Formats: sequence, C-alpha cells, structure tokens
Amino acid sequence: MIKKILYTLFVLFLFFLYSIMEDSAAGRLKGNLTFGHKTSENKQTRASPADTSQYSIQITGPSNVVTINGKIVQSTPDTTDKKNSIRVSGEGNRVSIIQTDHSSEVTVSQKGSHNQVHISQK
Amino acid sequence: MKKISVVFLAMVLAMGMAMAQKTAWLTQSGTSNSATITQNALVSGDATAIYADQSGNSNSLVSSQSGKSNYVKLTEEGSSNVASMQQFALNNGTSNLGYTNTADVTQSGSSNNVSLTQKENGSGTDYSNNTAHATQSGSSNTFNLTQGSANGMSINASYLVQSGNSNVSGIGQYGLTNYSEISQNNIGNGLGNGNYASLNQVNPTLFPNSTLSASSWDISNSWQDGGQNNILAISQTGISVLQKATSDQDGYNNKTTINQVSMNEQDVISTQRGTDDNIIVSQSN
Repeated sequence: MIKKILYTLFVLFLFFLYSIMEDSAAGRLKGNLTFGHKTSENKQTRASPADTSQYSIQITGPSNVVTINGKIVQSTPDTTDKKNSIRVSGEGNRVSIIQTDHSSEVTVSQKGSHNQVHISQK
Repeated sequence: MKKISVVFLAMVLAMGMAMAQKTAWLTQSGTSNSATITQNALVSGDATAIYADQSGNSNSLVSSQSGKSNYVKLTEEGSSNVASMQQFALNNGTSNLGYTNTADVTQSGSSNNVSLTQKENGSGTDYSNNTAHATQSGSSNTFNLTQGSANGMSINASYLVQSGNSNVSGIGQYGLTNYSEISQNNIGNGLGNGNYASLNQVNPTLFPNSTLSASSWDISNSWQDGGQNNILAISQTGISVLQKATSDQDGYNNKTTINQVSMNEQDVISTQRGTDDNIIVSQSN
C-alpha cells in the first residue's frame, strides 16, 4: 500500500518537473500584442529570453490596446508561478489579461485618462 | 526509506502550498479610469488577493473573488470614484476555519461610493469568516456592506470610519456572530452634519436550537460626533444569547433608533449630548 502511494507521489513529482520544462518551452513562443489598430510583435522591455510568459511591457501613447491571453498565458501549465508586469501611460488604453494558471501574479500600472483594465484569473 | 518518504511527501505538499495564490496588483492614476478584476478559484481552492490603487476622479473598480481565502485592498484618492467588490469564500460545510473574506478600503475625497459583499460561496448552512475595514474621508460618500447570507452561519466583523458631512452607510450582517463599529464624524472641521448610518444584524433562522444560540451574539458600537441632523438606525434580530447596542451622538437634532428582537439578553446604552435629540428603543421577544 505504501509503495503504491509513493509511486503515485513520484509520478506527480515527475509531472511537476515536466510541467516546468513545458512551460519554458511554451514561453519561447512569441505572442502578439496589438498596438492601435495593427498587430505587432511583443514589444518586451525586460522579458526573460528563456520564458517570455513572464513579460514586462511598457507602452506610451494614446489608444493602445494590449491583449495578453490565449497562447502564451493560457497554454502555460498550471505549475509555474507567474510574475507579470505591465505599464501603460496615455489616454484610452485598454489592457486585458486572462490567466488560467494555478498560481498567478500580475501587476498593471496605468497613467492617464479613460484607461481600462480587465484582469481575469481562473 | 521512511525518512525519504517523509521528505518526499513534504516536498510535494510544500510545492502545492506554494502554488496556491492568485494575485493582481493594479495602479491607475488619472481620470475616468476603470478596472475589472475577476479571480475564480472555485475549482482549485486557491487563495486570491487584489491590491488596487486608484488616484484621480471618476475612477471605478469592479472586482469578484471566489477562493478559499479572499483579500482585497483598495485605496482611492479623488472624487466620484466607485468601487463594487464581491468576495465569496469556499466552505467545507463543517467548519469556518480558513475560509475567509477580508477587505481593507480607504477612500479620500468626495462623492465616493463603495459597495462590498462578503459571504460564503453557496447557500444554506455554510460558513465564512468576513472582516471589513473601511475609511472614507470627505463628504457625500456612500458605503454599503453585506456580510454573510440569511441562513448562513458566518462570523462577521466590520469597522467603518466616515469623516465629513452627508455621508451614508448601510451595513447588513447575517451570521452567527456579528460585530460592528461605525464612526461618523468630521474631525478636521469640527462638525459632522447630515450623516446617516443604518445597521442590520440578523442571526440564521434555520436551526434555532440552544447550541446554536449559545455561540451567537450581536454587538454594535456607533458614534456620530460633533454635528447636527445625524441619523443612526440599528436593528438586531435573532437567536443570539446577547444583543448589545451602544450609540453615542454629540450635537443637536440627532436621532437614534434601536430595535432588538430576541429571547435572550438585550442591552442598549445610548448617549446623546445636545438639544432637540431623539432616541427610540424597542426591545421585544
């Protein structure tokens, strides 16, 4: 009985290690951010090259739209702690974040007027 | 082998505990900014936390948290800011330990509005520990708080300070034990006029037995200091072994109404200093 429990725990531990590796691999995928009305590549200012899912973004100007969801965040396994940071200044900016990680952390700073933030952590 | 097993088990548990947190940090400065934050950990049972800081006018925050323990800290500086927050604590059906909703709210300015709901996730005889601290400084501010649900057996506590004129607070506490502190004043200007505070404390009615009654109580402490035309309305209803309402008003043309309904001990200590004041106390079974 004890052997079975230990075997189960060992399998869970291996799954945890796999999840970390998978997260790093998924993090190498580059997501798309939309600036104004055109889509451009992720403009990361301090992103770790090994894991772009831990992003840090700084944007200045009016009417920017920053959407971070889908591939990068949602495809990340539920086992890695995320510490994301976004800074936006200007007017009419909109930041939308959806995180489905088991444990997640996000920081959003906005300066200006008529800005919107939507954060969903599930 | 056993030592290795214990260490390995501890590692797995530690990893699980370290992962159980959802946290959102928000800072907005300017005017007419809005934020919506949703944290849903009903399945995972994670803890949730929101730290929101808004400065400027006409800003808004809408938040919803569902987790084992939920925490929100909101700081707003400016006028005409609106915050609507909901916290739903998971429950295990047998105990209130560890299933908590906690809120710390600070607003400075005028015409600000806070609406806060803290309760257990679900209905019936569920449990939750709810605590709210709120401070509003300025005039024409509104604070509405609901803790617990009609047939739940929550433990509720709220602490409210409103400094200024024409502030309004409405607090409903529904649970096994309810505690409230309300202070409306105008410390900076010496007068606090036209403030209104209402408090409704209600015990669950599903199982009015002696065991439940023995662990139930309602306590209210309220102050309206240094002004005129202030109104205080307190209602305590249920099965608790003790209902106690303490009120203090300083000024003139102030009104206090206290209504207690219970089969057990009922205490009222009401003080008014000034002229043209009015107190109405009703105690019944």
